[in-house]
Amino acid sequence: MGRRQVAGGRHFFPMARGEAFALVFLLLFSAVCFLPVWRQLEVVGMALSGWGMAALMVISPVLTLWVFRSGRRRG
Amino acid sequence: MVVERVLVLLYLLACIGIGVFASRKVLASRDEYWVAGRRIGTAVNAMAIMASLASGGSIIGVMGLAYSQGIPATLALFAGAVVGFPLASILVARQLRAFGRYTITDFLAFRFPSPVVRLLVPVLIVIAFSVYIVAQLKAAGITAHALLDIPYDTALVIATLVFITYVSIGGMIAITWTDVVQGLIMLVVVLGTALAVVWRAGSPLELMRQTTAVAPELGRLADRDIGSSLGYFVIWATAIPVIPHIVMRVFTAKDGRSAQLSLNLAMLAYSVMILAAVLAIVPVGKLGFPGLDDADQVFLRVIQSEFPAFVRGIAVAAVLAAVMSTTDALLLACSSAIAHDLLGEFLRQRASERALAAVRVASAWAIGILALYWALAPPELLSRFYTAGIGLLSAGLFVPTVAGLWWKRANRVGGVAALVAGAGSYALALAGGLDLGLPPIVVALLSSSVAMLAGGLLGAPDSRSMTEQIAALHARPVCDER
Repeated sequence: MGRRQVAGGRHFFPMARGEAFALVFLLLFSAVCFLPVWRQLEVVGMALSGWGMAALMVISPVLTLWVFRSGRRRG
Repeated sequence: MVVERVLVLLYLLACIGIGVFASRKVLASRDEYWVAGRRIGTAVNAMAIMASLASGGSIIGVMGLAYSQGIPATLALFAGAVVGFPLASILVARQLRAFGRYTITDFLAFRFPSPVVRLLVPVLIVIAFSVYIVAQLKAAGITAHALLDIPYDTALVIATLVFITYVSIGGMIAITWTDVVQGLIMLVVVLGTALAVVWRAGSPLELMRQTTAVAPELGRLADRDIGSSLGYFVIWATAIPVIPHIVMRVFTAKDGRSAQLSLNLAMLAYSVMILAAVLAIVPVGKLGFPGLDDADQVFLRVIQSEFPAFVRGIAVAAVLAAVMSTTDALLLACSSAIAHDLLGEFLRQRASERALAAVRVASAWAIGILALYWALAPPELLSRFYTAGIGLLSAGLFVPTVAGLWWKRANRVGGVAALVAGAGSYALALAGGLDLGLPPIVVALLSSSVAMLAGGLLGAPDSRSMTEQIAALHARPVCDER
């Protein structure tokens, strides 16, 4: 079974579905971290936007590694 | 001070030794010199990528910034690079590795064949990286002066001569192995220090709670300007997929899959190091040394108060390693922009392989010596200039590279227009001539995208052969599936 791909249509080359998902997720997560509302709320003395950025720094490489690994398993 | 100086001397000699050892293999071959024979494994490449990105700013600067501006604002700046690596691994790594040449200019000049691309891209690289190299040299001089009590000029000359020597004769192989050593030193020093201080405090959360109770500004972002943080975030997120010293690492990987994995493993190591520095070492520094005039001293103060001379010596080597591991990669990329991108085609038709090797070595020395001359009397706002230099590269190269790989309608007119519009509008916005209330990098990326779209929709489509060749880069070769 080949990689599941998002149809690229006539205009784009196709991308693996997991990679497209990771891309959209990371862009949305980044945008959410910059929302002003998180700057006012604090947890353990630090603004939630700071915790969000810290989470983003770990999640982004881990998520992408997981996507590549699962894509490879599907072959 | 003697122990520190001896350890640093041993470290510098080791770097030269690696260069001399590598030179026996690389000087006679373009493949070996620029891309280490395209056989670097995943773990080694990951460590080398991490070390190339982690400059002096990633050790001294990140902690100084967190100490003075607070942790959330600092993480907003550094998270951009971390997001940039997954973008690079998904959008460009496998395809550029399959393309199989040497530089980002090679790809853009192939995809959008035009003298404008062939000339403008290496010129942008040389401008941006020259400033970046000078900024790193200045950091090396200041660090050695502060930590080893060596005069700034002397430290600058020694450090520069050492890394020009091993880069010019050892090429990418020497850089890769020195970067691996440098990356390991950085990781061990920063993570070791963080673990030691957290062990004493009980837990990182407890440490954070204690520190923010005394210094609440450390955890706050509310009063900070989010626009400039967003600008830095976008600059680094879009620079990583196209920045030449990282793209050259993609070409050194043994295959596309290894390139993708090494980019993400590098980022994981980089993230852990930055988070350990900011969430563990900075709070201890803030508690122990409140009110420092020079915030960049916080890491050194913590090291001096917590550890004996031997460990301090290794820490000094770690800071120099951070500076040198970035500078050597920048020097090779800058040298490739001249010796390969600008002069390569002309020389290959007229000169022997031996003469080409001499040009490669000479270009590295020329750039290094010029940068040294500039760094002896550097301009005051250098750190701002070098971020602007990186912004100029991402403004000009990001859209043409990504669209050239993924959009079937991308064509020569659109590619050239996107390159010129991105770089031009960024320079204009920085100079204050294009104030739309948005960060200059956002304005530039929008301009570049519009230019690509207009060129692609209105210009003549590329040949069928070009589309087929780009489609072939997306095909997953059998060797990638191992």
